[in-house]
Amino acid sequence: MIGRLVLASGFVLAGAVAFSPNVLAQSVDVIFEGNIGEECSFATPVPGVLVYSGGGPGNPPPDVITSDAPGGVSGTVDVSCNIDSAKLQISDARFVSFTPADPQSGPPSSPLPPGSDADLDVLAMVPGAQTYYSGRADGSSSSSGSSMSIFPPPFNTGAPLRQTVEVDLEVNGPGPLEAGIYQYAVTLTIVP
Amino acid sequence: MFRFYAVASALTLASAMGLSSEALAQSVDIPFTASVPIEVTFDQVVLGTVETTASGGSVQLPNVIESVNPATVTLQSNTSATLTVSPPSFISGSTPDPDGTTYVTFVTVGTQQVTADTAEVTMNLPVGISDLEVDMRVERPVPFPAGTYNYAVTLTVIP
Repeated sequence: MIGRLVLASGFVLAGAVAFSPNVLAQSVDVIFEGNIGEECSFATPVPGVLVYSGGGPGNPPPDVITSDAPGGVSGTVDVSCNIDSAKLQISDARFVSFTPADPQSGPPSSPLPPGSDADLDVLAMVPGAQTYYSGRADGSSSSSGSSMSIFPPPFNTGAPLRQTVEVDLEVNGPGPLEAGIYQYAVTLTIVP
Repeated sequence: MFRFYAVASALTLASAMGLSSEALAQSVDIPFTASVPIEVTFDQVVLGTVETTASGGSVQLPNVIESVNPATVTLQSNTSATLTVSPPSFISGSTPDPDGTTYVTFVTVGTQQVTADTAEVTMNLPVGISDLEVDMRVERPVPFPAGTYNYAVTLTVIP
């Protein structure tokens, strides 16, 4: 009688297993791995405006045009990074073009465009840090300051890593600057 | 005398039993029952590859991780089954996903495709071998800080 009960229990157990498919549900996790490299991105720069601030007729050279004087406007550019230790350096500043105010002013006095051999001083700033660059507009000589942190402490950790870099440029003659429109460019570089 | 009758009766009974053997012939069927258990197995999980992109607009740095080659999973089932697919879930990374992050899983089996974004979805699988292709996309409203990120898509099959 006991043997019969054991046998019956065995069948009941087997039936329960066979008809309980939920216990056979299985799961698997499919893993996806992505690597985000250290990266920064510049937005479209806002050009600066240089104003005449020294020299000129009746004053000793050099003539100076600068963004850091009343009426001048600093150039700015927004930079976004995905790493808060990113740094920035001024890697170049150069003469781009000159357009004379009076196209009928006659042949140029020098084979070089006016302002192309000027001395340039550049300052780039973010709140809490700055760096500089000095050099000739023709690229014949230059020196750069050490790179600056784009997000210097105490930067609000957790805030979006976005910063506005302000750039000022001063152009020194070296002699009198001819009337016209001068264009210069400053190159900012993100460094490791 | 009594013993004689007793012996005679015993012989008679034995003879009767010996001569009525056909009446005792019996047949029996021995049943055999096989119960093949319902069984489903995942195997051959091949990891997919992902790329990081910027979704554009004001976001210039990568804020999207998405599949370029799907992960593949082979599933064997000896009964029709229901597959449950989850949206991708954050496993590890430099920072947790901020509010506003969107998640999408795409699973393709033959000509069937399901998309799981805000909740799990299910799809029916036939008996036999099913080759699943799993793609995913995670988009943050802000760029991902540099680092390694892991997301998981959970597939659950119920017979």
